[in-house]
Amino acid sequence: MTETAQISMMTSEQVSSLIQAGQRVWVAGDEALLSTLPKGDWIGATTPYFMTEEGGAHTQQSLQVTILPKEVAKISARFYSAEELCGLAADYPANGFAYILIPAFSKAHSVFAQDCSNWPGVFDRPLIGWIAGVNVDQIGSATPKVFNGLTGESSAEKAVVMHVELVSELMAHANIINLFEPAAGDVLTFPAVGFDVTECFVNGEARNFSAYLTEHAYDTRLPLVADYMGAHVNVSVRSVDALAGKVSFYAPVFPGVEYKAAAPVADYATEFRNRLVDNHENPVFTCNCILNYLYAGLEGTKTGDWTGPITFGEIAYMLLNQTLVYLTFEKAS
Amino acid sequence: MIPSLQDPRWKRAFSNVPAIQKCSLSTRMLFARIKVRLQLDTSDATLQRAISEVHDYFEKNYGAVKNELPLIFG
Repeated sequence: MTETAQISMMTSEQVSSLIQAGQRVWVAGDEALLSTLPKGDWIGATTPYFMTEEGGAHTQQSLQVTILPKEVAKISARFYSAEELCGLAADYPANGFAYILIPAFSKAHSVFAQDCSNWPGVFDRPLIGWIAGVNVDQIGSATPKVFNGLTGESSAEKAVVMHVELVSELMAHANIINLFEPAAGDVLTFPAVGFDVTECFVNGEARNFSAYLTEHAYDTRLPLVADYMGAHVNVSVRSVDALAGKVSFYAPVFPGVEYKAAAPVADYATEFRNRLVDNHENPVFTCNCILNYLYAGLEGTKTGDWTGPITFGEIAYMLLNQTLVYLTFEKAS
Repeated sequence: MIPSLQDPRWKRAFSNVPAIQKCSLSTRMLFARIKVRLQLDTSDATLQRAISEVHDYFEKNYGAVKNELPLIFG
């Protein structure tokens, strides 16, 4: 319903010019480049992976920019510590949405992932965003960061959120594209919330989850999938430590939620391209998962016209894995 | 029209999966999380809190979700 915001790879000088010209922008890229940007109406976060107009790209030499369209009436941005995040919805705009960026491996990341769906009012406005990452070869040595351009500050611990007020004629909508479907088979449940798991229930019977995955020669590139009233929510496997009997995930599992192994996707890039061809929406912003990028070999592969950062976790109200998140503006009814 | 907090249709709403599946992502996620909460704690106090939370969500989001109300509540 609105002119799509331009998203493209730019030099830091080009991005600086946009900011100095008063454009409101979201920026993704390398910390060294983000650190050179002037103060202005922007927030950003680190990642060296992108879906560009030419296809998947890995670069630390340029930044990816989303220019907010003219239908944005007003913005504000601030950092939230892990302890402050539960009050996020109190700052939601009257008509608009919130764009959240969280450094991977921070306390804010784990608190958001485990608790956000219980925070008062969190579903009251579209909440989208992503988890900042680093080059996968530098995990442990480089630190993901988020930036608040309005103050010129960055953080490896806090989330930064831009609250975006839209003109009254438009409404924002958050949505997802998830190629993974639950396979037929065992129902998996977990006794407690967490990123790390030892015990699980397989069709109600207590098991060591690591032993279960090993016994089934589980392909850990496939996430577990939960059915949230028809919305498929993935939890991706980070590691399986058979000796310690422990499995780690990239997002938490929750007690009471039923999970199933995902059915294999024959050709992710082709399937993804087909889904985008069938989807006639015109997103203002999209982001997709580093695991889809790596497992499906998306570097250098064009999957459609949608562009955006490749991230260490996607946010559409909740933390998601191996999922594309997108934001659209529609005419208010 | 959002049912009042005392309306008996609320109890049925939380298990009206076919209707909720046609709703927006936020409504589906909210109902899914509340359904789990109600399974883990069947007390009346938890049910009342859930009704209040969803009522509040519909009130604050009325413009976005008003078309979902007839689906869920008939």
